[in-house]
Amino acid sequence: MRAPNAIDFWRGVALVMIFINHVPGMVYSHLTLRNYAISDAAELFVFLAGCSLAFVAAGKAGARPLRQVIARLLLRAFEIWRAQIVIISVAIALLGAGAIVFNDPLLLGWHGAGPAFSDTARASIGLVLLTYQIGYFNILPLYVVLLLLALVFIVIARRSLAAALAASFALYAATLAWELRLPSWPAEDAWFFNPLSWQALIVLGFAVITLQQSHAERWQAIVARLWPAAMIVVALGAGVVWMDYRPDPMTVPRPRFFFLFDKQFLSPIRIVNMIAIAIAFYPLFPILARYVGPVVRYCSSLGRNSLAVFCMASLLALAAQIARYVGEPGFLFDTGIVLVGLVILRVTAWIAELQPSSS
Amino acid sequence: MDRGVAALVLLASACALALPLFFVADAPKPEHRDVRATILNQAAPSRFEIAGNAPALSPQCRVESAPFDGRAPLRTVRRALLEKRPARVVSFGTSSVLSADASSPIATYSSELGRDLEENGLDVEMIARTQAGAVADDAAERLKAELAALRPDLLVWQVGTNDAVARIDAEDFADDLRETLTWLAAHKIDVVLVDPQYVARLSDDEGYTGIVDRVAAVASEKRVLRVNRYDAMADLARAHPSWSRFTGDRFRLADMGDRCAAEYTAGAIVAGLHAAATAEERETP
Repeated sequence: MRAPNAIDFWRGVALVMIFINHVPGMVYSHLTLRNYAISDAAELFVFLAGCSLAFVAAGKAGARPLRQVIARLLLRAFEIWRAQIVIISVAIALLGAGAIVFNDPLLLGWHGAGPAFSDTARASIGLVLLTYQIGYFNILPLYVVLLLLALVFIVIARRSLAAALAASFALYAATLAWELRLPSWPAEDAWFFNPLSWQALIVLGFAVITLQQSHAERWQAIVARLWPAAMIVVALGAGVVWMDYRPDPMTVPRPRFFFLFDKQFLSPIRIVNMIAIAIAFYPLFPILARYVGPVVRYCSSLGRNSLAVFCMASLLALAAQIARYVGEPGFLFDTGIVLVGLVILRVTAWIAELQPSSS
Repeated sequence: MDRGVAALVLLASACALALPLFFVADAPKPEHRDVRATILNQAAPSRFEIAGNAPALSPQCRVESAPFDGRAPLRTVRRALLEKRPARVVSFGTSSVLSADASSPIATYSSELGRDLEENGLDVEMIARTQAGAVADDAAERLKAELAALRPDLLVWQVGTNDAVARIDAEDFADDLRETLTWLAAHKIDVVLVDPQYVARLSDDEGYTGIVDRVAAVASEKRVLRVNRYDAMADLARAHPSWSRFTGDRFRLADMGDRCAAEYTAGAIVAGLHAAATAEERETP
């Protein structure tokens, strides 16, 4: 078990925020990043996943053989795909059970689950192929594709990090310019998180840590120099959110996704905001580790076991949504949900760490 | 060499950025076409005249409650039909609208609506979109982004269910709905609202019925057509109590609710076209 570190800690923070955000309507939603920034916990999580990739790939120095890196990423993609199949099966079962127990048809159509019950043959194919996703269970399919795309960029980065970044940017720009999408099926729609654009964030995270490893001192100097600008960007982002300003997609110039705050296509402003947050909060971890050690240890344990914790958080959030729907939601109810959820997530991390090789 | 490769890739991405400016033409917005004078002087095509009569409801969908409320003119849809092009209709809502494909084993709201409109002589292009999981602000932003891409003439919007289920505050929901309807009006997109489904368990639930009431109130305030699905389904539930029970892997009431909502929506659209024709006749000197 590795000691608490910044990446695991912030990943744990992101997981807690994702859990809370996946129960819409809770009073605690006001405490999450999305209320103070244009980007949110999803961007933070993907960026940190990119940072972790740099350690898996061991950077340009090639400390780890490329074949080993490729095999490890392919295996990881398969683990995430497997986890997606399990949790979405459980989620559909939860919704079906809720519909029967409470005699409520709305649960059968919850978050796009309708085809799972009314068009089972095609929906089951879509679930396996990841083309059929239900609401709040559409992040792991993104990760499967991101890992496969990241493979390509990591191979390029072995020769040239600049070329890998340029290739990633080219795909990102083409996706936004041509509004490229991965289609959903059997639903006539598109993936909620577009991997073709979100890959830019994971590659950025990878590049950041790779550069940090290879040019540590210069890296620290650059971050220190950028810190004031990053704080200004973060403050501006908070101001935009506070004013509830959103560009009108009908009137922005084309290609429009460059000028919107779009989450599906990960508009540039969201990436800029995320990078600014990463720089602004970069010096914070050592301070937190010194003064709020238990919190740091708690979040780091979640971050070390992110896949298991994320899966549990997703299912807990769905159960909480159903509970709020059939119950009498209020401040105490929501507080109970959050407290029980935080305990169960910690237990999940603890169980995951009992395994010989935890994620 | 590394810098050369990077530069080449950046150049390629710049070309990718520039290409849409040359080759991708914006779909002309209906309001930018300077054909209004021509339209007013043209006789309505015969297919449109057929649609001027209110469509008859199927026996199982005839209920005491009025199937829809409002007399809002659907001017943009009328303009599309007079321009002799299919009216683009986007059906937006929960997963029951996910497919406009009538070959789906259980015909969905969208496919039924498209069929009902065509039976009434309307040439339409149906597009189905879902707001799976999205509530409040997120749902509004997703809707606007989708509509900006699709540029429909008409939005048929199943509104309120996700927010009611998520226990969103009814007044916050009403504010978001109001703001979105204002945005739709500003961009000349006609809209028909479909209120949430009736659920027997929630008939006394103030949180749920509060959302239903707000949909009605805001629709009335903004003078928007509203399909009265909730009251119609409540009538159906009273007439057929067994439909509210889970039998044979389905809730018959929910299926009938979607089926009948499609008929009611078609009726509302026909009424809206009639209102648009009447309004234009009054405006013509």
